[in-house]
Amino acid sequence: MSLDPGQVLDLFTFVVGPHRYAIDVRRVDEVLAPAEVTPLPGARAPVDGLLSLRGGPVPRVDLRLCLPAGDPPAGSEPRVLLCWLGRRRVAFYVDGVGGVTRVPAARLQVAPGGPVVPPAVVAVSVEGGAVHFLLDLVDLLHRQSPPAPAPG
Amino acid sequence: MDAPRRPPSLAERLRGFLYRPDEELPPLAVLPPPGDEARVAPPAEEVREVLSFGLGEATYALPLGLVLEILRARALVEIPRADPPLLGVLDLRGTVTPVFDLALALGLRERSLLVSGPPEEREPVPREARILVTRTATGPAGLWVDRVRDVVRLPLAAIEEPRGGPAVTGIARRGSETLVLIDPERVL
Repeated sequence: MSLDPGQVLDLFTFVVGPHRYAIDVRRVDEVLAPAEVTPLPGARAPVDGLLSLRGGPVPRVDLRLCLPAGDPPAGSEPRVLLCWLGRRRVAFYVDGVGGVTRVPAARLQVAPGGPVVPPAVVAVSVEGGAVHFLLDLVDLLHRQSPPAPAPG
Repeated sequence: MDAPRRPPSLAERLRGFLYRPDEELPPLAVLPPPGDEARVAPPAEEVREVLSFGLGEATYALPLGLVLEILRARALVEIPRADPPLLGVLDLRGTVTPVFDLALALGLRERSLLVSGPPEEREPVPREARILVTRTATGPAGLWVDRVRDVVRLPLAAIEEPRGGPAVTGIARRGSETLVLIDPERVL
């Protein structure tokens, strides 16, 4: 995959714990107020239950269980992001939402390694003094999934 | 000796970040199979969430926030000389919960269901029937309904003024379907 130097990414930003994150805005289907989830027998963290939505039940993932914990910025209001992963919808519980921002790809920085950077962060955007971690939601869920059983 | 692995470029790292409809998902056990889910536009106005259910051929709804549980309908414990629309009671994990015939209470049915008492006197419980355990001022109360439909998010602007009795709090249309919104407290 090549990246057009002039390409501009539309990012949806949100907060989990002390960090700000961004995802591809095309993933976001709805932003909902938190609602009770139906406990799901057999579900394991970070899936904490099912949301009943028009169109059927949707699993909810608590991103606070996947990303570094901590106090969100004052004034943040928890929300549920209803996101598209492939052709499925998955809901993600977050501590707050920011909005949509446009960032030229040329201004993104490769995420440094090390313990400071949360998992599944692929790049960093620094705009106006605000640091946003670009989060690969699919990779994050892959990391949370049980390993495939060994052959045989 | 193997050459050191080149770290992925920014473009390669962004490959999974950017949305693709054909991307491969992790095997989270609870992910439902993909379906023909309609994309739903984000709500641009205040909405009310209601649970819709069927009584006969009609579709009714009550505020989702009042619904504590949805149970598969079952035979109830008989209350001697109970007045309709009270059908009987059920033991909800130690809490005796009255169950009411909602269709009878709304005047949609003339005869009360016989779903409590000796087995030989009871009528069979329809497979689709459900008991909606709702929150009321006097504690949980069960509402016997013919079937549960789904949760509907209704824009407030789509809810028309009530007509049809004191228990009706509004009328809403969803496609060709009419939803009658009720207040269970007023029904009972």
